[in-house]
Amino acid sequence: MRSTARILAFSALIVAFVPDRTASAPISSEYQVKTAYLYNFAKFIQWPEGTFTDTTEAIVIGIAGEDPFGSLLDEAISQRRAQGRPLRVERYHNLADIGHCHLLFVSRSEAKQQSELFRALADSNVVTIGESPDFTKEGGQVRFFLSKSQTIKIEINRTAAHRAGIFISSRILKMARIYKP
Amino acid sequence: MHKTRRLIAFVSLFMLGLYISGATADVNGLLDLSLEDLAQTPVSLVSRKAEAPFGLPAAVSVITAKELYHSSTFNLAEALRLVPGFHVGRIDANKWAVSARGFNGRYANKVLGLIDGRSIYTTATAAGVFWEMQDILLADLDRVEVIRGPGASLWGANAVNGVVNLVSKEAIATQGGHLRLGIGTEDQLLQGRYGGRINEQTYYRAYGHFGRRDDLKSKSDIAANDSWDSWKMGTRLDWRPAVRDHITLIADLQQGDMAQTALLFSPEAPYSDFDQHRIQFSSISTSWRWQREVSDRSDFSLFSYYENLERRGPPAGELSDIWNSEFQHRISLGNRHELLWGLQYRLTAIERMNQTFTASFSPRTRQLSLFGGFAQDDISLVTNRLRLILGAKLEHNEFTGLEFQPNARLAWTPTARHALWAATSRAVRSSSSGENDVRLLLGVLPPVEGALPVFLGLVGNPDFRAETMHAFEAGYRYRYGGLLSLDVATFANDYTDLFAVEGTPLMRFDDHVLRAVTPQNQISGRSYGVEISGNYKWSNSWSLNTAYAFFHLKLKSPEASSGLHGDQEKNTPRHIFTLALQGLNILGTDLNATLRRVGPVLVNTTNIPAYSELDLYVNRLVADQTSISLSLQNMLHSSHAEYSTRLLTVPLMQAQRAFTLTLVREF
Repeated sequence: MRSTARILAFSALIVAFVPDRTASAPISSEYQVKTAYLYNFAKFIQWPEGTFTDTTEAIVIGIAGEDPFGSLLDEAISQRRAQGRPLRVERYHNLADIGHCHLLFVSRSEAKQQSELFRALADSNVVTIGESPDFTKEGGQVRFFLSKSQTIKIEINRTAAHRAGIFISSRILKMARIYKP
Repeated sequence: MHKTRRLIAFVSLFMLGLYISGATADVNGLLDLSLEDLAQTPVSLVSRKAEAPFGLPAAVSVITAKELYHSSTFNLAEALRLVPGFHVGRIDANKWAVSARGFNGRYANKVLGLIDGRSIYTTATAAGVFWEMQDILLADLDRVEVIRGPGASLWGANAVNGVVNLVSKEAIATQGGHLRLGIGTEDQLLQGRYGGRINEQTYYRAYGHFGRRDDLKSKSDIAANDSWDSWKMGTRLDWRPAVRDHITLIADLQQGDMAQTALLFSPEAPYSDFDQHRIQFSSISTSWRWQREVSDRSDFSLFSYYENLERRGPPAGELSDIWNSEFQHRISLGNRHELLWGLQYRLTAIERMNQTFTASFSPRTRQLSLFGGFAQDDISLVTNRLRLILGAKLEHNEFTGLEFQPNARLAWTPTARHALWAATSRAVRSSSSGENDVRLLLGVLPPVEGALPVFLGLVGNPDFRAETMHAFEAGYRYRYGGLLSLDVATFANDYTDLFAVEGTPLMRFDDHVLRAVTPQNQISGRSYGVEISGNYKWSNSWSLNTAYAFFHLKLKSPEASSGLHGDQEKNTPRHIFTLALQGLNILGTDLNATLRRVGPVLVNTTNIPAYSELDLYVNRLVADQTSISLSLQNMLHSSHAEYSTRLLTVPLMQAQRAFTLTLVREF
């Protein structure tokens, strides 16, 4: 019993003095989760050889159309690296502006023109990510959707990903729903 | 006096629990969450690759991290009570009997155990898993995958009636700090873990655990003496240098000190006496694994581990060094075939220590090599509907030579709601070095008129062969969305060459006479049974699980030697029923309850009656990252017996009603 009391006192001390790490706060916002997904895509997708000109070139995350992330994405990834590369966000107001990027988030605002976009990107190594209901059906590669249990999950169109020549790690695939036409 | 102290302790815990600081959402922490946490999707790894159990042609259950963490127990062995068809009997505070589909006992030897791929099944003295030596931080476990029935075509010998595969979380899934403090009438524990990030590719965690368990209650006039302490510390590092590569390093260190009362023998009067002594164990284990995804149709892994294991104390001790290396490769061929194959080599060096008159081994050291290879073809006969798995493992072990363990499994999934499966397999339990080398005393006839005392004992048989099983299984699964599921598994197992003992001629020594029995492959038998489990899940919060298992075993001895099989027919209950309520939230308090009814068992010559027990676990989040819980075990009776031992004679002990208050703080 004496030693139990000692253990207790010791642990009470530890518990009382550990700082609160705000980092593991409950996940609240939809776009925080989507930001984390985008970061994981940058970590777990391999682009074909020759995509990057040198080993320090950034992985560019493009946002096409209205930006639902606000400053969230920039703040989150500014200090981060993925596959040893820095990360950068670029915004394109409409489809005509789209420049060189590796991951392309296609906003809901562009849903009407997205199939046109997929045709235009057909021969590139860009990973298209979107959230409109028909995104994967029309040829997009990764679609966010809300599951019945109110969590955000992803659906992957493997044919489209294959066409883009990218390799998606099983880390992503094993938790994704595979789009079946 | 000590009650007051306990009260003060409880109150101070509550005060601590109220210590909060406001937490704001920060996306940086989110980035370090694993993808699994992001999607909150429990992913299952069975058949050596990730897969959900629904369409699998085997009796598979998965205990999720959440279920584990909300179970009322602090001991890994008892967490296995959550698995339908598993029988867990507490022998004393530091010993459990754990098995599925029969043949239970302190040395239950037909269920294989693995922690992150490292085998915890020992064959050094007796064969089986020493569950008390598998102390693990339940919070760091990702899931426990359990196969009932043979898994020998992949896992090799001794995976006869089940495989328990404990899978720990990747380091990225355990970032930040975690402290758990538990104080109770039977269990005290202190656990801590910290997970951090070295760079974008590398995450780690380090943990420590200390546990103390009080004596159980003795019903005989021999005082209870089975309390124990154990501590464990370890670390895991996950490094993903590139998208396709994953390297894992794990190292663990543990030590335990257990009290035991056991019948020990001596050649002088009084020849036998219950002796109170202590048993110490320690282990160091380290493993590394390299997994590479060659393409989305092919991957391989290399895995090695080293373990040093020491267990000292009456009646005998052992020191083992184990080196194990494995290679595994998966490749999809065409649209229909997925081929999985692998190779394995294991070297085990055993040294027997602290030999006593009661137990000794000859030879004193052993070096055992194990070679194995397996191949499995997972064939999609009709896409998403009909699936055939053909596989076999060929293995060579030092005692029983080459063992071939094939299986064939078929699953039919006519719709997304129904699945039917059937399987047939051959599996063996290779003989242990104990059965070959042991000299263990079990009883004594005191001398009459100056004659020598006659000891009764078990003497190893170097010709003891493997026990063999042919299994026939069939099952059905039903699911209605994520709401309702039903799982029925049936089996009929034919055993041959089962362990039985046969008398040997009297052996005369200077100061005693030994009348020994020796292991023989004498008996055959047939078991059959059914395991039914149902799960009803209400939205994302509470669920109701119920399970029932029926088991029957009939053994056949050669005519001249009937009754050789001892208690084997009855050492596993014929009926086990459990009903569990999980995660019911009432006014912010999580309530979990488990009711179980376990049928009577016969262990050696001890009849242990059926019992019913109720465990409760109440958990409340008192602050953002702090929760307090109360575990109430064995609420229906002040004490009850669950199991006893056969080979090592320890007094019958009873598990007690227990209360434990735990505080968990994440930071």
